[in-house]
Amino acid sequence: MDEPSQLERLLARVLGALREVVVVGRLETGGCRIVLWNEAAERLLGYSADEALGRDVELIIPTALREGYRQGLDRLRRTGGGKVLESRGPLELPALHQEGHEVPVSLTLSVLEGPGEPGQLIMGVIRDLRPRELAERRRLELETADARRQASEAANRRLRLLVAAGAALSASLDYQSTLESLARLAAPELADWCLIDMVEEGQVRRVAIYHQDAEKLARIRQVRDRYPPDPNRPRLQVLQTGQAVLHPEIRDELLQAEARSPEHLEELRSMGLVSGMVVPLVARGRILGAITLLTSESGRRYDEADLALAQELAGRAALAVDNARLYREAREAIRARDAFLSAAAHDLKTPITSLRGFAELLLRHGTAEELDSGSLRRALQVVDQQSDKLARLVSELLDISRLQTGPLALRREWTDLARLVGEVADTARSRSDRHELSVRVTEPVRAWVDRVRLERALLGLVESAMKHNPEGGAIEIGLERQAPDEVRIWVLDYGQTVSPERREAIFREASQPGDRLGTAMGLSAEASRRIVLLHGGEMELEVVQGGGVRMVVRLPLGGEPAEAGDGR
Amino acid sequence: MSVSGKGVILVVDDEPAIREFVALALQAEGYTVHQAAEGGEALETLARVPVGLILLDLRMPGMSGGEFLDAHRERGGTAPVVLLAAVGQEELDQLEPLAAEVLRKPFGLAELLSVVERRAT
Repeated sequence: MDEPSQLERLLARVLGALREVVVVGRLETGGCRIVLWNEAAERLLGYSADEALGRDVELIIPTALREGYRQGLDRLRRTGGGKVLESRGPLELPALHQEGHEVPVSLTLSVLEGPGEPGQLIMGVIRDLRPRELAERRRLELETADARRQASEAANRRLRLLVAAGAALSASLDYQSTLESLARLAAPELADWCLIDMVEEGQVRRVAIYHQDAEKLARIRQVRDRYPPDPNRPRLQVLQTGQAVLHPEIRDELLQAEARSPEHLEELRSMGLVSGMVVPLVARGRILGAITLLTSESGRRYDEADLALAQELAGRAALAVDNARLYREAREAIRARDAFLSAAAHDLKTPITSLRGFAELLLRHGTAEELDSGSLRRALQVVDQQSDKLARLVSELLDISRLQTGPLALRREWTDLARLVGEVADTARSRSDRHELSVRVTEPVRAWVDRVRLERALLGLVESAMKHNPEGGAIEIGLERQAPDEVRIWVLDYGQTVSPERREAIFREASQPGDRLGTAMGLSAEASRRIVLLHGGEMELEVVQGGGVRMVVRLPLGGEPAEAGDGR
Repeated sequence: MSVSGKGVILVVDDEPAIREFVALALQAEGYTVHQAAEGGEALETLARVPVGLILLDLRMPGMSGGEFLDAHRERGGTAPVVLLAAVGQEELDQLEPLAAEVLRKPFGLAELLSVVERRAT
């Protein structure tokens, strides 16, 4: 090796003090021999100057890049180097460390023109890219961690909201208060405004509206009172479609479509709405209502994730509402059963009392001939009648309880209703001599009915009329064809004892949904109503002008339309 | 006034069979018995004849037993009232204080006679 020139020694000292890696190679026929290796190079790549000097630059080039390196050297020799290298910016590539691993570096090459040997010395300035990569990686890691933390916080918030909602929803079986507390929870957690509208007996009712600011709430409530929820406006379309709707941005057109009047539109605009969601409350396939979530001053914009959360919330709310309804129905059924048992007990005790009483009277007086023959005969008649009444009550009781627990099988047969009405009148006459029974029938009417049960139902109505006119009076039972396939049967009395208004109230109470038994109606009238309903008919009470009441039964003639219509 | 000097009883019940049983039983013991099928009719009877004891059904169409009791007291009626009850205790609780005694259906002949004996004035 040549003795280092003074310049080379000076250069080596300068370069040794530098923090940048500087390697100088001499271009030779077979390659490029390292002639300068500063201390920074030793620190970065592992080789000491003694180990590196004199070796080919290939020493620090990873195997995969060596072919390219040789081609580069060839090109350099052909072109004589020069500006070619300098025109290129720093290359980013891996360098091979003494220990075999690769180190990411940036490399800037320049041709040093040594005296008399232009292009023979090539200098590489190498910068360690690891700190930059580390920083980059750290930054990425930080970003990821931040995103994760945010995501986890959001998930926690959602979970907290759902847990709180679960608690609020299970706190009470009264759905009004349940939904109010849900609305208070949703605003402000998920929305600035929360509205809950429920479908109740076909009508939409606003059950809850909430905003944290009491003043805003009061103002909007006033507006809402003037404009009750309208299922035909876009917002509540969800009640028909059952599909949740997301409005990332609430545009003015939406408000215009929603507004019922210019004044209403102004009120809606003044709410400063930003974003909104409407989600249906669905339980067991039925759309029970909708939750509307709106943002205003928070500026929050909803996305799909918010919609999913709102739907989750709505699902739980719907379940709670459904449970509350089932509970209410169960309670109603228990009350109806109790009322029924009480009415049944009352109705049964009456004939039992007279049976027992007359039997004891006969025991006490009958044998000792203390009773005259008229009284004796009357006592025996009463015992006979009351036994009969008791038996009828028991079968009515069984019918009703069967009607309550499941469908009672009707034993239908073709029956002439005109004849049936006549028979009912005959039976009723035999049971009371205080009442005057008349029959109004014009033509035979064939119907596909359970003759025995229908007769019992009509007799029940006549007895009810008698019962409400204990002092006697006229009672009319009539029949007329209402339509080709429907007949109208009525029992009319001119009772004065019990006012028609009171009887109407009693009847209304007895016909309440939930099948509450109006105890004042007695077992018979209730059994009648149920039998009529079972035939697909209906029963109603009409107050007759000038006093009196008409119980009206509308009955489909049943069977095949052709059979019912041909009047056979 | 009864021939034997026993009291006058008014039985108010919408069920004819009960009225007849009570009437027959009490007449056999020498009481005079008037019958009414409901509250209004009972008030009319009370306005017409002096009555020593009222046997009153609670559930009747028209004026109920409770309403009759109120009307009877309003008119200054003093005759004691025995309730003929087929209803549950709950319904009875409200009316029992207004009555001298309660006969629960189905009551027997002996019970009826004993209560009337005690209460008839």
